[in-house]
Parts: sequence; structure tokens; C-alpha cells
Amino acid sequence: MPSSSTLLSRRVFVRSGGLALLALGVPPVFLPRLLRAAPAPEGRRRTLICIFQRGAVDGLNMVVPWGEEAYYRVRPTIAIPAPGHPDGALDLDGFFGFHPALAPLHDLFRNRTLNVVQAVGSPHPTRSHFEAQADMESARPGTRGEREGWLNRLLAETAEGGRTLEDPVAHARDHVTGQLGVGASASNPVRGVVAGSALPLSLRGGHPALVLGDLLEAGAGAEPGSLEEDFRQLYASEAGEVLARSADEAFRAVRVLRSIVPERYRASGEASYPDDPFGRSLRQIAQLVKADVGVEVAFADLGGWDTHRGQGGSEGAMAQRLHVFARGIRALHDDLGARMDEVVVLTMSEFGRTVRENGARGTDHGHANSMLAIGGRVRGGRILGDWPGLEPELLFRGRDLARTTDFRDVFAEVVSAHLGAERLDRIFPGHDPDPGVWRGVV
Amino acid sequence: MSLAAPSACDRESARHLLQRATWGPRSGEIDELCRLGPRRWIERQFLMGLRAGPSAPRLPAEMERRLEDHRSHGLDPTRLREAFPPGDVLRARGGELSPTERRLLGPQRLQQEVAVRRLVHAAHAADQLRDRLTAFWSDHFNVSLRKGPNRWLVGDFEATAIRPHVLGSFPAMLRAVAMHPAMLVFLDNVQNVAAAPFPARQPGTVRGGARRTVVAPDDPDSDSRPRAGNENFARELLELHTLGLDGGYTERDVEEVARVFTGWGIAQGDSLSFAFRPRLHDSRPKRVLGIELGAGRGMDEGEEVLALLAEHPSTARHLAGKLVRYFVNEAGDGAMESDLAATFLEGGGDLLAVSRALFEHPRFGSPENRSAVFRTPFEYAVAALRAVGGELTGPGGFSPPILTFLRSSGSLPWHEDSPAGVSRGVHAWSGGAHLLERLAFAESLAGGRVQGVSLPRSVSRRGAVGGPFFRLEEVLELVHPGGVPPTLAESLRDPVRLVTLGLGGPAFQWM
Repeated sequence: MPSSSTLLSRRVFVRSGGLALLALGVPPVFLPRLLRAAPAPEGRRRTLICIFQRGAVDGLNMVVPWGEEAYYRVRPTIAIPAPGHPDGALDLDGFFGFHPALAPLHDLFRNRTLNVVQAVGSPHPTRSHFEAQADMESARPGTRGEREGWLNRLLAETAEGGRTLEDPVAHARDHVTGQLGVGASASNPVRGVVAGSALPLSLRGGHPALVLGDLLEAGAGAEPGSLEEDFRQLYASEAGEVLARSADEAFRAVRVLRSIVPERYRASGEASYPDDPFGRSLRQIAQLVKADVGVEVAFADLGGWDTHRGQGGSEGAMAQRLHVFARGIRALHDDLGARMDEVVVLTMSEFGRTVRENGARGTDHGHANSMLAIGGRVRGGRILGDWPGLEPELLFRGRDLARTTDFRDVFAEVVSAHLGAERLDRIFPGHDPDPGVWRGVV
Repeated sequence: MSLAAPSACDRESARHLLQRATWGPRSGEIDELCRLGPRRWIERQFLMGLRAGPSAPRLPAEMERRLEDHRSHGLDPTRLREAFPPGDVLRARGGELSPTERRLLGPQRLQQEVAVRRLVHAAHAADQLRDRLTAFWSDHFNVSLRKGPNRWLVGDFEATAIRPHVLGSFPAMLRAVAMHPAMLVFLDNVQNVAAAPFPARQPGTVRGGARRTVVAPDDPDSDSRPRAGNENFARELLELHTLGLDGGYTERDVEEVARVFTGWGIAQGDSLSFAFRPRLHDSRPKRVLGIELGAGRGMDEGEEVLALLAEHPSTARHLAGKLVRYFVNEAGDGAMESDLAATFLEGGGDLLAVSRALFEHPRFGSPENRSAVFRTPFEYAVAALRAVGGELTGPGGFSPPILTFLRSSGSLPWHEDSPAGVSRGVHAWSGGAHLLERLAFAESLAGGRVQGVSLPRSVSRRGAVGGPFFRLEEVLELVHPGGVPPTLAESLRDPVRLVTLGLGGPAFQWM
């Protein structure tokens, strides 16, 4: 792993390179990308790690608008006290503060590697969980029955050589020599990975994406005559094109994953992952990123946010979930260390929750919400997006936080600035990419 | 396949028919089909389907008994809700319940039972053809148990709205579906009511930063307040259930049909049954597909629209295309599709006639339609189970590894959230990771290591039960349909390995 000074000098180089291009008259709209979407060092890829808070997290208690009087008026039992009070919020900018359970992330805000985007929402404001999840994961709000995720389109559009097969001769040679594809070639089987057991809609579609499940613990190597070898031959000789290609990807993925010796990727000293499925998911992702096998998109889910009753305030049900969430992300951050320079962690949730607490000391399905972006090269420590306010007449449909940022604009900015994705029109069909409305998330 | 009585049986054609008209051939079934001849075999299947009880398939007695172990067995939706109470009721009783009780009463248990029941039906129904047709139509009218009260409703949906009609009339099925709470919940028609009876409050003063006007009173319980119409059901009724996307309707028709179905919902109170609620119905005049429906005719308007849609030529085309892609060739077969559409129209949506025309069509077994449908994970798991003579002998027919296999590919029955149903086709299901899961499943199944599945076992002379026993010639015909590839010559001496490679190999992924 190169020292951070190498990375720093490279960054400086890229910056000045970008400025030189500006002087040559390149349209400024492309500037952010040229400046910041530098290729990672050889054999490495930039990585986007998406964390889905499935079930609709209450953003108003996650990033608390403690400077709003209305917040305390409509949340008599669940509001988080202002900073300085017992169990109070952790101040961010004199108006917003983190829920106290987010203490592990508070450091990241203060050392400027974390940004908050406020009032992010969907232009198709459904209050159905599964519809809103489908809207967000397809990034095509309002179209029903979507079967293709935005991250899958991202992988397809950023694959070297597009959606076509790579050079078959080179492919065959790799087979013979045992070289494994590390890179953005569509045949690298681990460009898109999911920690967990099911493929979320975000990664479904025509580009292969790997559900890690228990694969990291996959068995011993394939010897000639082994079942795996027999299957490999069967698929190579007997299957039609689509199936043969898929099987080939699958077997290659197994070999890539097998090449990772888990002991070598033990978490770094300070990282302490929570001992639960979320912690294990993030640890798996960190292992793969550190193994330099070419992971570009990783995805993990964390549920338990649907707090219709007994949500709690500074302590209680939601505080416990937030603590798992924050500890996991902090452990990932610490584990990746300098590697965070090539990583952006983006959190999302299908919608926010009602501003007013309900009769069961919980909150119901609402609208706009907060997202977090974390990364070594993020210009962090900022609260982004226009804050619409919580006074009754400012609410969406009289009850929810209004939306001032379309979630697709956050996605688009991240994949453009961080991963260098160019065909935003294809990744976000029906949504014209307009860098003018981007918030500077990364 | 020619349906003239065969002089010498064409085993390849027999297998082809069994793969499509059943959930996958079992050992000995090719012989049986050959003995009867395809036409008599099919007629027997139809007859069995027509004679079996309308709401459930015919199962072997021991499977019936296993299903009786389900706590949901035989309960109607209302009683299901009592047996598996809603989350808030459970939470309120939280303290007095042991963890085991909570698991048994919880929604997950019910969801699993509902999914397992369909697995048991597919694997063991005697009236296989009707069960496959039931799965097709249930998927056509897909409802997910993950929405609202649907976990209590989807079993009843299939038993009362789908299965009784798959060898009957499409208009009757469509009407039963449109009047079933599971569909009205799933596609939000329970919220489809005439515009709110009270006027929206005037927008308040909008201060800087806010970009929205206020459209509803600040009411924390506004979810329970009648909202203006919801088009979800109307749109899918036209797009997915009947006419099809290019079926010649307009956005205006969607809006009008939505108004027609205002007030079609669930009865108030605890019954979870259908009710037309006249006070929520939009009684103004409507016009659908160029036809004036008049005003104030209440529920008759919806009935008229359903009848109109059910026998519409676009519906015939749309359904014929789906049937052919499901049962014949996932890429379609134009000639068959137009013939089936014609049969559908002639019979006014007679589904027995359409099914007969499908399986007896001269092009059904044509070479380009062989091995032309990629198995979904569910179809794969069941076909594999049947090919090796596996039986679901676990308590309640549960097999945790099969459920895990289905869950990991998002294919648990009744868990599909898209109103368009389960994805089909090689491109949907050939992803690398999923393929590996099929291989792993094949290895466990052929090795007799899938919990809840019993295979025929070898028995030694002293009576000791050994590993899986395959009547190899018959099983190989099912799992290596093209013959055992020469590359596997080495494996010939190891039956378990040979069967594993067959079930996991490329040929078996297709039917």
C-alpha cells in the first residue's frame, strides 16, 4: 500500500492537471470531474459503498435540527435535547446536531471527512415502503415494476468496453495462466458486491453483481477432477452463450475470493466492528476493498428503522439502531485507514418520517430525509442542501419535511465526481443530469 | 409433437410435454405418458383438475397430513388474523410471550407457511397441470404478502380467485380477482375513493426556503383520512391484467377506470372481506375505451368494465403472448400466439379451450421450442426435487435449505413485490452468484443432504439404510436429457456425482 504522501502528491498533480485543462478552455461544467475523478493507483479501483437504512430512518432524530423551535413543539417526548443538555445532540454547526448515538461519526464530521445532505427526497412521494425503496433503488421514481437497479446501470456504463465481452483471446489466456481480471472489465466478477444473502434491486440487472453470502468462506481450491472442475467444463462446452459466460464469471469470482486469505485482512488495530450482521457485512466489504480485487460498488443493508411506536429519544429503540449504524461505519472507516481516500460511503433511506410524533411515541411515514457521505477525499464537515424548515406551513402535505434535493442528484454527483461515470443520462434515465444543482457532496 | 397415437413412443417429446405441463417429470412418468399417448395423458390431467376440489390440489394423504401441521391450515383470513395477530397486538402482549411463542405467532411464521404450501403443492399435486396453470395465473395477477394485511389474504386469493377458474372462464377469474381484498390492498384500491368530501384548507403563508404549498390540513392521522383517487389498480388492470401496454388505451382511460373502481375496497370491521362502499364511489358519468358508462350506476360500472376488458381482442393477444412465453418459448412463437388469441376470443375467454389449444398445438413440440424456457429458481428447485424422487417429509413439509435457496434469489412464493410478477428468462436468472447457488443446491440434493427432503435410499441386505439410491437409467434420462456428456466419463462410476452434475449442469437449467 503506498504511503499517504504518495497519494497526496498524486492528488496535487491531478489538481494542477485539471487547472491546466481549464486554462485550455475545457467547459467548466466538466471541471469537477476532471479535477476529482482521477484514476486510482494501478491495480486499484475507486469504491462506492452504499448503506441502505431500510425501513425509513427518522432523519430528524438522526441529524437533529435543534435550532428549530418547532422541532421541540411537535416532538414532546422523543425530541433530542439541544447540545449542552443531558443526553443532548452533538453539535455540528450551531443549528443541527447528531443524535448522541452517532458519537463515532461526530469525529468524522469534525475532521472533515463527513458531509450531511439535508431534505433529500423523491419526486414521487409515495409512502409505501416497497414502492419508495423500488423508486430509490431503481433511481426511476414513479415507474412501477422496475427490475434494474441504478448501481447495476452504473456498473454497465462504466465497464471498460461497455457491455460487450472482453477480448476472447485474452480471456482464454487468463484462464490458462490463472490471471484474474482486476479492473473495470465487465468480466471482473467482483466489481459489484453485496454483503448479505440477497441481491437488492439496486444491483439487479444485466451486469453481473456478486452476493457475497458465505462465498468468502468458500471451500478448498479446485483440483482437476473436482466437482467444480467438472462443472466448469460442462458449462464451457455444453451451455449456450449467455449461460456459459455467466458460469465463467461465477467460477472466476470464486477464485478471486478464494485468493483472499482472510487472516491477511484482519481488521486494523483501532477498528472495532459491532458483532452483528451489519458489522460482519462491513468487515467483508473492507476485506475485499483491501484485497485489491477491483471492487467498485459495494452494498449493505441495515433495517429496523420503521419506528411507528416507542421510538425513544436519546436512548431507546432507535438510538440502539443508530449506534450499530455509527459504530459499523466508523469501524469500516478506521479499518480502511488511508484507503478511505479511494472510498465514498453513502447512506440512504427510502423516505423520512413525520415531523410530528404520533400518539404511540413514534413517527409515521414521511417524505424528505438526511443522507451522509463519508470519504477520505470528501470536503467534509458541512451540512448541505437547503433547509425547508419545520413550521407547519412549510411542511410537505402539511406533515412532512419538504424536499429540496432530488436524491438522484446526490447519486449522480457521487458517481460522477467519485467514480468518473460519464453517461449519467443512461444511469438516471428520464433525469437530466444538471451539475448546477449538485450540492458538493463529495 | 404429433398427437396421433404413437406407434413407437417418442420419449424426447414425452419429456418435453412433461416439463411444461407438470412441475417436472418424475421417474416412470415418461413411461406412463408413452403408454397413454399424449392426448389421453393431457385429457386425464384436465379431468383430474376439473374433478379435484376447486380450492386446493389433490395431494397424497401423507402430504395432506403434513400440511395439517401448519398453524394456518384451513383458516380463513379473519381467523388467520386471530391466529397470527398484527405486530402491535403482539408487541402489546410482548411481556407474556416466550421467544418460541413469539416466533410461532409472528408474521414470519405465517409467511413461511404460505410459501411452503405452494412448494408442497408444486412438488406433490396429482393434478400437476392445473397446479402449474394456477401458478401461471397467480403470477399474472401477482400480489405480495408483504403489503398491509396481505399475509392473511394471499392463500385465500389463490384458493378462491385463481385456482377454481384456471380451467374455467377468464372473465370469471378477472371478476374474482378484482373483488378480492388481496388485490385491492396490493394495488391500493382500498385508498381509491371519490375526492375528499371536505375542501382542502387554503395554503398558508409560505416562507422562504419552502417550495411547496400546503395541500392538506396538518393532521397527524391523515393516513386514515379518505384520499383522492388512487390509480394504481386501474393502471395495472389495463396494463398488466388485461389489454397490455400497447393494448390501445389512453392515460385518460386509466383515470376514468380509476374513478369507476372508487369504493371497491374492504368492508369496515374485522371481516377482511370485499365490500363496495357506495359513499366512497364517484358517481359522476364516466367514459372508458370510448364507451359511455352513464352516471350513478355504482358497482355495475366496474362489472361492465371488467366484462369489457376480459373479452377484448387486446386482452386475448396479451394473454396468448404471456402463455406462450411461459409454457412454450421464452422468446415467443408468433404463430402459436395468434392461434391462442383466436381460441380465447371464440370461447369468450374459455381457459380450458385455450389450455387445450396450447398443449395440443402442432408447434408446441417443434424443435425451436425445445429447451426454450429457462427455469426460474422455484421451477428449478421443484423440478430437481421431482427428478430425483425427493419428497418433502419434514414437519409441515418445511425444508429450510430450499427456503433459503429461494429467499436468496428473491423467489420465495408470494414475496414478489412487483405487480408484474416474477422475472422470467435466461437473462433474469443466469447471474453468476445465483448459478453457483444452483450448483450448491444440486450437490446437496443429489447427496441426500437437504434437510426436510427424503430421497429413495439404498438398503443393504442386513437392512441398514445407506446413501441415496437412484434408478440411474431413469434419473439420468431426466437430468442429462441430451445424454451424459463425454467429458463426464470419469464420473460414470459415481451415481451421486453424475446426478449432481446433471442437476447443476446447463441442460437442466432449461426446460
